[in-house]
Amino acid sequence: MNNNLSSQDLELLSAYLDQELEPVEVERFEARLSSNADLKIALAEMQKTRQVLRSLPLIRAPRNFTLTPEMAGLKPRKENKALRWFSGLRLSSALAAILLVLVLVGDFLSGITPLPTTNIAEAPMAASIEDEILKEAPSEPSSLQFADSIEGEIALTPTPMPNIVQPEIAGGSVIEESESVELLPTQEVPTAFPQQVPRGIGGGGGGGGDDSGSQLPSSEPLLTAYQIRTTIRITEVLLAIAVITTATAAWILRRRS
Amino acid sequence: MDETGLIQDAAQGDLNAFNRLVLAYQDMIFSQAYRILGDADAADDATQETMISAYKNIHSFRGGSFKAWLLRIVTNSCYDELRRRKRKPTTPLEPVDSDNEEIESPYWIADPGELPEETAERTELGNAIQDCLNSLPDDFRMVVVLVDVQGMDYQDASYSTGVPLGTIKSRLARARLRLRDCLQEFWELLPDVFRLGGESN
Repeated sequence: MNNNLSSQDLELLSAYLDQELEPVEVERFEARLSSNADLKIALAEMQKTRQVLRSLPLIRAPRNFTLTPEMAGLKPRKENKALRWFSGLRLSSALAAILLVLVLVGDFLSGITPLPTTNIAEAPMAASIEDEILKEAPSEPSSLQFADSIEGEIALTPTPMPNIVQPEIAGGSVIEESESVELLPTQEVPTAFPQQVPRGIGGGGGGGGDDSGSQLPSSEPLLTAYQIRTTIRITEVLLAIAVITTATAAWILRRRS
Repeated sequence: MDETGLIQDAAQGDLNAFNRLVLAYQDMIFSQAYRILGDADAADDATQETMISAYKNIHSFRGGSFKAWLLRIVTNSCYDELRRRKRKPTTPLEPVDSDNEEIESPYWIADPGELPEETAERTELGNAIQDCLNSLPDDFRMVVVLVDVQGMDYQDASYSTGVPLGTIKSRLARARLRLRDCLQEFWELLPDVFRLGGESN
């Protein structure tokens, strides 16, 4: 190549070779080429130089340059951990929801079956009766007074003899004593009213002091049912809270991942 | 390969889609890096950096030539390495032959269909051309590799290097002139059709 060419001619040669000249410039340059031998030689040499460079083979990459999550700035370990937490929370939420439904269904079914209401219904009545008793004899505790009064009645009331029927031996069947003898309940302590007075109702307390005259075995079912109901309510609230909490945590984890 | 779809998926964080793009362009990127840096290890590092940078910034790709966009990233990466070399020149660790030249491992340029002597000739010619490229100033080498080796037009070369079009034309013309003078020293290695110098002289 003739080194006397100007830098402008070199640029024109290079651009002409790469077809980067405007049509007007191409026409003008080709006119110069036809009359300038040095320019032709320079163009030929530049063309061969470009061919040598373009003959260079494409170098194959020696290895794969694919990215791992760590290289890409992702965090697979934490991501997997978050995914495990998400799965666990989702499962917990589902289980809590199922348990809540079971408890609610059980509560609903237990509500259909009526609970024994006698104790509950008669408790106010017993309270009112006891109030009347208290009004009559306010100086003594009602239960003790009542027990005393009953004992007093027992002492005054003559105990009728048991009506014993002599068994007929001759010519007749033997009648067992158990069938003919009637034991009058005179020695029994009347327990109608004391049975109906729940503990804690009334001025003196239902069962305070003398337990013999104020045993209230029927109050226990009432307390047990109340406790059961309370336990069920608490369970329902706790399960509902568990469902909401686990579901919310799972949703947050899902959003973050 | 639906390149547009893969780019969109990669922009949304799909690493698998991006890796498919990597497999399609890694030869081109590595080749560009090697031609500019002249060293396989440096080219390896530059290529890896390019892929990582491309993934992290793919959301900023606004269409056009994806090849030119990738070449811009690798060009910047090569510039960084060249500046690093100027600040801290290093001694190559590769073994050298009797002429004190590095013995390059040809494992990635070997053609299994070639005869050994053909491979040797081609390797020697390739090394000679690379030596001539290495003798150019960095800016000249960058442009001539983009246009003459990668086959880019002036516009894409201007975009990839970040320099004006007029500068691209000027640098390319002067680089070709210098290469022509350098290749004359190796004219015996050139195929007959490429023989220079003797004909012009």
